[in-house]
Amino acid sequence: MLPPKMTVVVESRLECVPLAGTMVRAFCHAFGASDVESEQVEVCIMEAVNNCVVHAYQSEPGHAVEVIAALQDGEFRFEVCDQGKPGNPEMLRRSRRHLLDLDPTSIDMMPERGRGLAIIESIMDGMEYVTSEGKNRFLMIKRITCQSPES
Amino acid sequence: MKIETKDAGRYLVVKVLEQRLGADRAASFKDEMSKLVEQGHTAFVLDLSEVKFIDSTGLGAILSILKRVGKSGDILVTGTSDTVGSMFKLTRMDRVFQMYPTVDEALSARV
Repeated sequence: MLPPKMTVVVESRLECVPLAGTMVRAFCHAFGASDVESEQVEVCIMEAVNNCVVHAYQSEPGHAVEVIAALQDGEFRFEVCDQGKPGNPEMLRRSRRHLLDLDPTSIDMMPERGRGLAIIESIMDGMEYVTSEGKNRFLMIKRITCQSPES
Repeated sequence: MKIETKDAGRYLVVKVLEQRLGADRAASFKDEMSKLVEQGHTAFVLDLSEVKFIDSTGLGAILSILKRVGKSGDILVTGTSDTVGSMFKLTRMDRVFQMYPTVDEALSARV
């Protein structure tokens, strides 16, 4: 039996990003993830696709962002792929969770952007960024707590 | 970005009428709120009861308005769903914004 897998391709426009998130959320829910887990995955997928649109493709429309979702060995595996400007693989070497530590008394110093990777790190069980031969792949893994495929 | 406003004394209640406050809507949200700040409003009750999804860019947009209104201003957040509330918690934004279940409770707390 082939493991479940889904591929969705969206254009590099921010208004197209919700489609990718919604479809991956539905995929996860269909294959046993809870409502909470599915919504958390949706957030991560949207953060990753946003990064492709804004950073890899510099907000230029007309390019493809490919999102692959698969379930294998009790793990959801996601790939968000682009063929734009590569990011820095070093960005995943250090934890970014400190970016979520806020001092409520220093609002002026709080960054308004840049929390996407920290959010993904908090939700996902693993992340990797690979760039090779013009293709950039951001890989995420989420282990699910129960698994009961919808009939 | 569709919003609905209602005067409540010191506070202006701003209800976001969109279901998603993501990167695609954040700039528009900032524009609408900035117009209100330019009109002289600095204290808001932000009603997110219609919002089902928010990402880091949406949260950043709300934070940018808080910075804009400054220390003499205020933004109270109300009506967050479990999903939206969990994003505030995950990003520690629940430590930055006063959050209430409803607009009435927020306004009562500030009387």
